[in-house]
Amino acid sequence: MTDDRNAKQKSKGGILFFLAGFVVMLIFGWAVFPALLYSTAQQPVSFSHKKHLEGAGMECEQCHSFREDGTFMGTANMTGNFDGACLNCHDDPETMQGADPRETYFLKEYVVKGVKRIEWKVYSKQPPCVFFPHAVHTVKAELECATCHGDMAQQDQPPVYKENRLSGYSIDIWGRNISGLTSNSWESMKMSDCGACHEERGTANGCQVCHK
Amino acid sequence: MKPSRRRFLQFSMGAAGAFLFTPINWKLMDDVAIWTQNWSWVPVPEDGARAYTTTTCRICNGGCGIKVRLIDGKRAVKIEGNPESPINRGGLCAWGAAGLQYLYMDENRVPGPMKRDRVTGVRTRLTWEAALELAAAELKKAGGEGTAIVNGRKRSTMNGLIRQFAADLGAAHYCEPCDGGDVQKAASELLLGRPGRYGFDLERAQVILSFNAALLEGWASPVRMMRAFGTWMSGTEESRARLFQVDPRASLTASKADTWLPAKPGTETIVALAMANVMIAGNMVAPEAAGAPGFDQFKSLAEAYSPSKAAELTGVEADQIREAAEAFAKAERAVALSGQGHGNTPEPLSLAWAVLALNGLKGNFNKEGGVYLTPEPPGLDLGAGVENGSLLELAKGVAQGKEKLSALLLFESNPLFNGPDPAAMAELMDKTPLVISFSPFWDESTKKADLILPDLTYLERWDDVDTPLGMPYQAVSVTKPIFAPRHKGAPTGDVLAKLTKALGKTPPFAKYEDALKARVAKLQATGHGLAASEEPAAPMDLLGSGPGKGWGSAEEAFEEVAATGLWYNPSGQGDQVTLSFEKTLEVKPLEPKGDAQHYPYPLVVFDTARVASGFYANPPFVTKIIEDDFLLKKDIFINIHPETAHALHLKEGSKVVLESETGQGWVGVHLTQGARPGVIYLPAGLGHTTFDPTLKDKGLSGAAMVEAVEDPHNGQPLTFLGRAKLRKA
Repeated sequence: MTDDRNAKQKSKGGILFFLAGFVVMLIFGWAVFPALLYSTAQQPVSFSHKKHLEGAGMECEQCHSFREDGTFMGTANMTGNFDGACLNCHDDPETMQGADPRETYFLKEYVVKGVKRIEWKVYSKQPPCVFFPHAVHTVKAELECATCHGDMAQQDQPPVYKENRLSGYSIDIWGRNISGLTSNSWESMKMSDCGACHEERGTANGCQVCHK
Repeated sequence: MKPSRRRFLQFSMGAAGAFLFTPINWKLMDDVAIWTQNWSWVPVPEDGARAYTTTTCRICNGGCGIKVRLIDGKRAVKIEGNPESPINRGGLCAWGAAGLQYLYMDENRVPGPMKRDRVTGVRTRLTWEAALELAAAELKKAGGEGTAIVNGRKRSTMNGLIRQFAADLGAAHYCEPCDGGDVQKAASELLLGRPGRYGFDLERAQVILSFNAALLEGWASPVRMMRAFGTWMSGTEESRARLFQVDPRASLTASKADTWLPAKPGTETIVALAMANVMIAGNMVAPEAAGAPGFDQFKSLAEAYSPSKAAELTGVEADQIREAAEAFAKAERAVALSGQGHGNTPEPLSLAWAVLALNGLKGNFNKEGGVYLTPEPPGLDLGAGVENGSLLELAKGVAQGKEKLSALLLFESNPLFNGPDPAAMAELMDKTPLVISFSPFWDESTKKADLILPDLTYLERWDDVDTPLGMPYQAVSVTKPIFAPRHKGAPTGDVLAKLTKALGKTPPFAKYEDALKARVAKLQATGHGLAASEEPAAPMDLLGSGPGKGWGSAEEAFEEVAATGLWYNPSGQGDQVTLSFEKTLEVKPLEPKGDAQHYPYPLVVFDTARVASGFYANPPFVTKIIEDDFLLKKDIFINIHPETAHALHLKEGSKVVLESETGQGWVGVHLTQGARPGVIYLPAGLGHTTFDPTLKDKGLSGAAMVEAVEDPHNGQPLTFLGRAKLRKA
């Protein structure tokens, strides 16, 4: 009898340690691992899409449009041959366009110092082996920008830029949720997302379509 | 509870179990894969400004417009079809798409002028000055009477310059290898008294009778043919066009045709005459043909080949002949055409003549969906009086000691591989003390040359190509350099001008570009013609579209033609002719040479869709996609009928020795119902002994296995039919 009881107690204790190991690993995998995997950084300038669109009454296309040759210019910068270049408005360090302390910082650190380029961290940057023409997607296939990038117009603060320490790409490619599950099309930008959308729309889906 | 080894293990097992339910494993797998892509030593092509240059592909004479994508103007990354060219309308064939490999495969390219010591085989690099000086001195020494020129660039303005050089040199021998276009000329002279090429309005024809032309495997202008095929096959079963293919094997074209008429090799002319028989007997002949001089003569020739008689001789069922002839005769728009493989080698003149006669009986000359007797666009008329001779005759003369040659000049021509009769060509080259090659590549003949004055590839030089074979209107496609040459080659046009000067004569043009400008000026002076434009144009949609652009000046015309890559004149005006059957040919089945006792099987050497047959050999990308039926690793496969295999106790995949009077080698055996029993089929164009490892020493050369049959009507060597036997080692 005694031996039997001892054995039962022992096995109870065993399950306890097994469960403890199980829970610790779950916590590590779902909470600690993601934090370790990504380094975090802020954008050099805390740009507010909302302020520029609602406050200053600008249009998206003033900064994000196509060049004459059909290529997409991507993000805006200090100068350039487009309406939305920063220095087109923020040319005088003494004159504030609004009342946000972030603008004061921008004028002091960039305009006064005469910095030529803001080194934006690009959330949607893809590997060089991918050929992605914006024109084909937005003009020809009439996709909304928000389908892939989300509704940027409402954004007051750029999200924290998290870079994968191994791959070197932004967390937004895999998706902010470590599980890889998403509920909106703009939450991840993996090859499988491109493929699924091509599949759904019945467009060409061969390797050479994107990997030329 | 004290910690113990046992508890530690329990904890670990729990953790290991949970590990499978964390994202760590699959996330890391994904990241590691991407991490490996970004190692610093993984080559990533530099990005840069993208731009396209419009030019023309010159791998074959098809004249397809291409656009080359360039990065920073100095690195070519992709060749695409030019959608604005009416010839290929944006399409491209496998060779065209792989064209950059001709540019960048350094091991296949001659890096600069070189001389070779015949005894030691050692090559020395030369400067261009030294090379030209040496060439001029040697050519002076050789003298015109001992000099032969082989010109493989006859569809380019280079043709005139090379002819003129032959005239200036006083070269006693000048040879342009005969091709499908030359056979057309001879057939047209016989039947229409007009020695000119002609084209076919394939896109609008409802019935197409093709005799041996590999329409879907690279004949004439490959992309145009593929697109025409697409047109034929679209529409309902009743409304779409029908293709009848007369072919000695179930080629790709024959397999895709509505009806395959499997003629015994060498009897295709009889099939054509039997069809003429059906048309004449059924009163389905156009009145202008029935009333043409000599029609009775032709009628009695055709009467000798009733469908049942032809069936006996050719192996094609009489009903198939009747069906094809009736479909051809009754269709509103129908066309008949003949060719041999890709069109780089001649078909029998009697076949081209009989097929053109079928078109005459149909009365489809210069009519929608028919044959357009398009004149050649005006050229520079250089080298007048230079007579074209036979290279094979010359080689035989030299072998027999009747002729003596002191210099042989090769312009984009590789007789050591392409023949005719490579063994005779090898002897010719051995007996000629000076062989000069102008090839940009290390082809077989260039490897043997004493002096190499390498040209540039088509992507680095000016060039042009006259109306492609089968094109129903005039078209001159222009090729221009996409960037500075990668090697120390020089455009042969420029080199010839310098050589002419060194020989004490005045060259017609100082550089090739000037010759091209003069050519375009002649085109502009006609007042006709268009440049490739943004309007979507099917080849025939623009027919009869007026006088053309009417450029103000020759310079203006050259600028636009060079920028768009094409001048073409879809006026729809063909030569007006009168049909005459007075020169009726005597027709016999073509008999292969060789001892039938010793070599019991006829050997058919055929062009395939993925092996090049012209001067440009296969680039690696294309060699990789050769069908296993023809090439597997290093083994070439003959195609034979299962009955033939059974009689010889061979199985699929057996290895045997194929032997003919001119050569022998190991081949694999592929059994197919598409082969005629008792005939051996060997794919052409393989068995190179030079070039990169993807092509070198693969298979057996078809040209070397066949003793050319002399065409009884024009003396040209026919190289597709020989005799052979199979031996189990």
